[in-house]
Amino acid sequence: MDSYKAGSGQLQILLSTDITTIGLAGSRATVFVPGSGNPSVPVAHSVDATGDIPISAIGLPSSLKGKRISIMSKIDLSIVGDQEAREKEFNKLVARYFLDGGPEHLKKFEANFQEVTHSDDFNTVLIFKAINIV
Amino acid sequence: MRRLFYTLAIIAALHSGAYAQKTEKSAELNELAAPNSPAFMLLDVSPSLVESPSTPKEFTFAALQAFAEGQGFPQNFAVEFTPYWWLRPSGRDVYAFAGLDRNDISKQKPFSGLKFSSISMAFVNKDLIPDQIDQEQKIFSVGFHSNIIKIQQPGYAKALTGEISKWHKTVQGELAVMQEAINQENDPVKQRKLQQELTDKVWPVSKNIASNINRIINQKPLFSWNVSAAYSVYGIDNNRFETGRTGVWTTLATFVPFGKRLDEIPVNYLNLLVYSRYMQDEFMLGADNLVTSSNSIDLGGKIGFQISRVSLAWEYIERDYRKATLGSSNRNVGIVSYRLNNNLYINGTFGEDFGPVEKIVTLFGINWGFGEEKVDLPSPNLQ
Repeated sequence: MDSYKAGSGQLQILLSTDITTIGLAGSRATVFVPGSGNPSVPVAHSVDATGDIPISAIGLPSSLKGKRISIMSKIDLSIVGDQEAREKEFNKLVARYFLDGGPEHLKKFEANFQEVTHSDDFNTVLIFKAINIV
Repeated sequence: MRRLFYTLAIIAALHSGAYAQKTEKSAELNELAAPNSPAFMLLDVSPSLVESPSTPKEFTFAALQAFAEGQGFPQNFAVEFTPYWWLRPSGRDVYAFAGLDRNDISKQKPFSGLKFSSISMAFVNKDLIPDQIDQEQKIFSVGFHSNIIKIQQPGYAKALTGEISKWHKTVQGELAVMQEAINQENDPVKQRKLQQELTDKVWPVSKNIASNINRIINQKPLFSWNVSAAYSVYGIDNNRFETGRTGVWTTLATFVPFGKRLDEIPVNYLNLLVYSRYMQDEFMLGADNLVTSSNSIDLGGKIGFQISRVSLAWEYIERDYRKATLGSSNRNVGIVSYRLNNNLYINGTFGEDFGPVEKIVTLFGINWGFGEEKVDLPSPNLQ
């Protein structure tokens, strides 16, 4: 699993996502303690159907250390022609995540194959990205 | 019932040649209809020469429609290719796709159709040399099509933006449920399985909103300006290919909605289209009955009604040859089309076609595209 060093600075950690698709997209980011059973805390979300999350302050390094950020995006490709066109668009999907404010400064993450699922007809795509804050 | 109708329609299409009227020289196609791509339209074998503007959904990355069988040289098929589906331009998002202005999403971008410009190629066997020999040539043509300006119906941008916002808001609620479920699952294998189940789950509210968005995007524009060009070569014999027709044409179209609406989205339209073509034809029949070359200008148009699934249109085109001895001829046809589903149409074209001798057009066929609904068609029979 990807990770990001939070460090011990006094500035907030910043998160942003860049979803590139011509489908309808929505994204949401949460922070939680893995395995605790406690509910997640929403920290950021997309503001329109591009699915992009603008640069958002998600918390101080001290409060994030040991937690996990999860970013989930839902993409609806039903407006993209037929199934072959949707599959083509699915293969062109790009999901990039950026964290900044820690000792690693700006760090980019990308969604890998294991984090993306699609329905048989390629109408719906889910991307789930998790990053441990260490 | 619908399946029965499909079957009857297909049988009717494949056997309609029996009812075709013929004069001295009849243009007849009793198989699947030729697609309306520029590579075919140049050769005057499409059901309609006055092309209607398409919506983004109708642009597929490739379209292949075979409407006859053959041996050796590729027989009667077209490929239409839209490079947009293969490229990864920056700034790709749903707003750009739907022609909305990101800086002011209540406005539409009139040039947004340019990105869906397409290239088509066709292989056709047809006797396009007006000599005394009744022999088909192997014809290859390549064409280009672009929508220069598209102005959508009033309220398009506002309605579309509203529905897109509604979808986004709804999906935030869905994400909250799905994300929490996955966050609480610690086993990666179970987490992946859960993610797939959530992907396959139907969320009816957002699905309905997406359907509305689809219908808004696919409505006919108020005004559209299309430009096409095509070039063809004829196989005179097995070793000799010569330039045949070269043409460039343009269509101005307006779609005026009337009557019934479904969720405020029109389903009936009055269509008015104006068409003009410049064409250089290297194989024309001269006044002395010898083959000659000439350029020509087409001017005409089409008026029609689209009422739900049925469209009726009348197309008239006057073709004037620049060589005075060739004079002019016209095409005067009626076109009937019935949409069986999103991607399957039955077309009928009846009337008089261009030519020095009176030609009766009796085209009855099926056009289909790649789509959600698959229909198996029987192999066309040329005899």
